[in-house]
Amino acid sequence: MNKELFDSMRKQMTPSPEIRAALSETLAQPTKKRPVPWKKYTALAACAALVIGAFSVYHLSQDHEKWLLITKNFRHDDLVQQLHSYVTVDDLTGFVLENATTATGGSEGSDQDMGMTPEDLTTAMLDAGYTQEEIDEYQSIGYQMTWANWWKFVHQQENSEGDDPFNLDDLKLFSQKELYVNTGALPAPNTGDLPGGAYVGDVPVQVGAEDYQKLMEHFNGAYPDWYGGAYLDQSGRLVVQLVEDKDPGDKSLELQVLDWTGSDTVMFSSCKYSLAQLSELMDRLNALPDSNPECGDVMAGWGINEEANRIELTLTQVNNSILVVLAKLDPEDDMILVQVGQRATADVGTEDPAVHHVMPGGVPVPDDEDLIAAEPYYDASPYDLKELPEQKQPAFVDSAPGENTDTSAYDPNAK
Amino acid sequence: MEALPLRAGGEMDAIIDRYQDTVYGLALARTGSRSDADDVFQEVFLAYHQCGKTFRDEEHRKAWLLRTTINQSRRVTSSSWRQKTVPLSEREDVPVQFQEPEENEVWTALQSLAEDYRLPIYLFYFQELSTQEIAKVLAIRPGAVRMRLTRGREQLREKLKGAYFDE
Repeated sequence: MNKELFDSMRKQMTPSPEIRAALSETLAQPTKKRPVPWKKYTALAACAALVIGAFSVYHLSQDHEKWLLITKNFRHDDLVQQLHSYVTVDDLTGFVLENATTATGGSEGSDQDMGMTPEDLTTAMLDAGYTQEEIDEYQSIGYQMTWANWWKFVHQQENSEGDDPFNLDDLKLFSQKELYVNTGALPAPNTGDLPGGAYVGDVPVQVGAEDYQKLMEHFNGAYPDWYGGAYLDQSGRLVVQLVEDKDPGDKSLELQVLDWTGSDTVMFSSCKYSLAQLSELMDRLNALPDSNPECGDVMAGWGINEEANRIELTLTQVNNSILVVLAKLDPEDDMILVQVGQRATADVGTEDPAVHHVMPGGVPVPDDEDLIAAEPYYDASPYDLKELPEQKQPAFVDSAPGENTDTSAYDPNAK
Repeated sequence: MEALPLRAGGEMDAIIDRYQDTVYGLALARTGSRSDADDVFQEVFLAYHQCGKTFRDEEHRKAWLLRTTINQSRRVTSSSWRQKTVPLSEREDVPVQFQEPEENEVWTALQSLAEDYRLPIYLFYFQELSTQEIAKVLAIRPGAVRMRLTRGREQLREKLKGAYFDE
């Protein structure tokens, strides 16, 4: 390339003196302060406020009750008053133990999965085709089979493709998956019945009760948040309910309970509500009849069912007023089981927990009177009206003329 | 060459005297317009004055000025306002004029090259930068610079029909 030519051209590619002077003048001026970008700062502040607000709401939402209070204001459902659900029970034979919070204080809920006695299990296994040796071997393991699980297993095996669906290995495998597993020691076999549906096994009921007492001594009346209650299972072992929001991998609570009780037969299950929450709700229910007589009139009985991890409340009749109140007390509709039926209450320690009839309106029938007066039975033997008790006598017995039954003196021609 | 402070902002007159031809020439080659080159020239040195940067050495400062010149030129030529307006002043319409006809011919041929070839040719032949320095300023690989120089030179030779080349 022609270097001289390019050099010549380059020398002509210079800024004009005016531009150079203008630049020098511009540079000589004091540097202008950049205007404060208020709009930018305002936008940043708004974003920061939004983030902080969102974080606060999120933090608040960790406390579910508070979150519900917040969201409730935005829900259309709240405009239409929320009603608590309830079930109607036609033949309510059980009873709720009022304020029952002991380990054996669970009610006989009809929706509970009933356990199988060893005899039931033997019969069922024989019917399914198991040999007595297999039955003995299975029972020696001590799995706590329930009727629901048994029928589930039967149904599952009937639909399986194997030649021998009812073999012991499958049953063991099913039991291992479906039935709760002890914390170390194998469950003991059941050998007999106890009142209330519990069974006496190698681990007697007293052992479970002692475990419970030891546990209560450590609580000293104040239940921790992780404790959802406890009950004795059908073989008398103590089952401790742990609130399910704890880390499943964290076994420190289980180890702590085992350490407190000094037992290796305590079992654990998970639940939603702590006993402290249930007790607090019980206190509010206890205060409800005084604060709201309209509700109190229909509240027949209520108590904590620790096994079901809920409060069971029986109403003599249902009305919107109490359902609204209950919906406010139990926003998630799973803390209180409301049953409507003729169920009476019985205090803990009452000797006779028999059904007390409750008349419409919640008025109990006096025990010393029959609800329905029996018709007097006439056995054709003569009786004297005057010998009847005064209150049973007809109202006209004294004033009515006596009947003339003498016909011998009748003469149709006589005038 | 007199040593100048490496921190931007000081000794502005000396800095401008030393680099004004480099900055202005590159701006002119990139924009093809004296008025745009004037704007770029002022913007580059204002940016230098305000950047507060401390350079490693003189080469670093030169590379920074060239890079800033290319960026400012791109900003000026690509602004939508510029693309949608028609210049009113006579000066803006007048093409860059050199003293000799052959210089104008070379300039016209250079301006007809695509930007990818025009800038390496200008930086190599007019500013006498090495391929390494051009690669740093244009942020491309040295091999790419050599390739563009070769192709740009071929196109330039074809446009000028072999004239002004030292064969």
